[in-house]
Amino acid sequence: MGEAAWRWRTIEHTGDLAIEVEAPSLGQLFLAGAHGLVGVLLGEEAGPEKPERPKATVWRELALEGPDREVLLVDWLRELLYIQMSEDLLLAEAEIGELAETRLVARAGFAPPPPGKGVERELKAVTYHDLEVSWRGNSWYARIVFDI
Amino acid sequence: MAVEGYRLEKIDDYRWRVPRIGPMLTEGLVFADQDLIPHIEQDKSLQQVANVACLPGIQGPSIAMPDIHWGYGFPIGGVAAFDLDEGVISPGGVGYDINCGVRLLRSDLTVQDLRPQFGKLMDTLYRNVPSGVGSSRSDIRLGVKQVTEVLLKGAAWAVKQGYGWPEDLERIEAGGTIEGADPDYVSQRALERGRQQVGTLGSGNHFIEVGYVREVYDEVAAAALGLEEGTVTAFIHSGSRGLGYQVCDDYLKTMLRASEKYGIVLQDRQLCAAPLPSDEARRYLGAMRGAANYAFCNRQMMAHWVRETFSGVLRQSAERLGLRLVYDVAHNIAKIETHRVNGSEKRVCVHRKGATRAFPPGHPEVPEAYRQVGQPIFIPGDMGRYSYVLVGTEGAYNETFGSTCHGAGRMMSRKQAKRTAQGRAIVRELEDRGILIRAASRATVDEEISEAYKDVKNVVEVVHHAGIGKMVAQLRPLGVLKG
Repeated sequence: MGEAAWRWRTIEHTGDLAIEVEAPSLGQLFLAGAHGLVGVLLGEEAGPEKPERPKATVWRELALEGPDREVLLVDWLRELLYIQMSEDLLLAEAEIGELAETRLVARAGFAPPPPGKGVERELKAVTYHDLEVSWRGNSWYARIVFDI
Repeated sequence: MAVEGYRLEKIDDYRWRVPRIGPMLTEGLVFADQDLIPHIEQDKSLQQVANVACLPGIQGPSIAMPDIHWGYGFPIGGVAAFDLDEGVISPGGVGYDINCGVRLLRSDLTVQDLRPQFGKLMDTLYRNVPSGVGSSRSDIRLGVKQVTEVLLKGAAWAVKQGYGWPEDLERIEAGGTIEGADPDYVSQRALERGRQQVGTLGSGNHFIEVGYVREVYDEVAAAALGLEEGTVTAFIHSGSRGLGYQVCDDYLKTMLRASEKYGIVLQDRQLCAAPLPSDEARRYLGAMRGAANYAFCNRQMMAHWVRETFSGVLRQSAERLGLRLVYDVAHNIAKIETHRVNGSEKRVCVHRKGATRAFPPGHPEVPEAYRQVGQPIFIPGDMGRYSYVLVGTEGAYNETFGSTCHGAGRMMSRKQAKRTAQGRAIVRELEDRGILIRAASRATVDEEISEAYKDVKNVVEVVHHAGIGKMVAQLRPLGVLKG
């Protein structure tokens, strides 16, 4: 799959901030959601436009379990948000090793925010509200609401 | 699945009913006038009122204030009370920013006293109070033991360390220390986040606003609160920062499992909850109260720096300037309180998410100094218009579990607000109107433009006329520090 195979964009939400994500596979959907999270933190409204992110300097193995893939997606993004908030590291790249209905194993690479482009926005959390992960005939779709 | 097919029926000029349908266990009660209703109907907030009405053990109606807007789980501006035996507690009914709240300082200074030094004052304030994304003060980093003390003692810890005056504590909700906090139920992640961020404003809609009393509506109450026309005030709006967000996040996971374990049917996963008598609820209450205390401490420390700033710039002591705390009140919290339910007194768990406690005159939890007039309530507007001071009423105690509104309420998404601000110099526009802005991020200023919010005057007039709050004074901004 090429660079443009997945995309994310912010959508209108009065109180908080939400994104929609589309990707050809569930694994790419999780990656796209992660890039959407990073994009929102950097003040972007859609991606990938020119997703020039610094190369990963720190790698982590993440293994998550949840009751279903929706909760798993939220938990995945929560882990990434926690790492950003506690260590000021943003996801740069990731390899999804295993992704089943209730389990995700990934190797995630992080880097500090790009030079001259710090984190613009504080996200309090990734919520379960209005959450959706679905197959829409020809691509995977997710809607995620962040508390801001 | 969320409640579908709900309707809105007019009760009177300021009250609307969402009749009970389908899985709803009670009706919804919305405070609004005819002009606010179209704004409220624009998003999914009424559906959220209906969803909350489905939670087990709810007492009275699922209530929405006139500043209601679409949140996650509970609407922002939502109030719901639950029976202690049959009811539930839901972290989604408190929100991520546990004990987000407002405190107000008053002074003897007039606007004229301040004008010559005002730019310097705002610059100094911007340096002294950490604001913006991930902000922290490099000279303050607590050890885990100290964070634990903050969780237990709240604002009292801060005063003991020299941040503020002992008498401040008498003028904070719950005296600045909510009993029953249990740091053992707060995760290491939350504690770690708490170490770095105490005494910080944060970003988003948090702010410190230096303003003045523009108009007094109730002379007796204003005098009791120490507010006089033309005198300078300072608002601090912030909460429990990353520690609170982490507590909420941690317990949402716990409550998602608990909902399944106890067979609680959820209309929205963000409403996940546990029965109040359960171990899960006990642990959340212990952690949430700790986070609430952290927020009281946070605002106490910032108030100290506000005093230091005024004192340094104006070369007079804070005492001499009369920079006294009027009050500090939470608007994101769950508390066990006594209320009248079906004619008799009962202990219930009141969730206030984007709603302010509004206890009436004579209530034992209202500070002695305000016992005759009622508990002070602060309703900030947007950064370009005005804010209001109210006091609690018997009406609120009887009808809304002692609660009222908390702000103007957004009516534009942040994306829409940014579009509206595009090509404009918002900081300059406000400066032309005599309001100085100091902000860590231009994006935040654009997202927080006045037009993004309802006119808070309309919101406050609804609660005043409905009798769930009584207008005391209007405050106007002179300078706003944004994250």
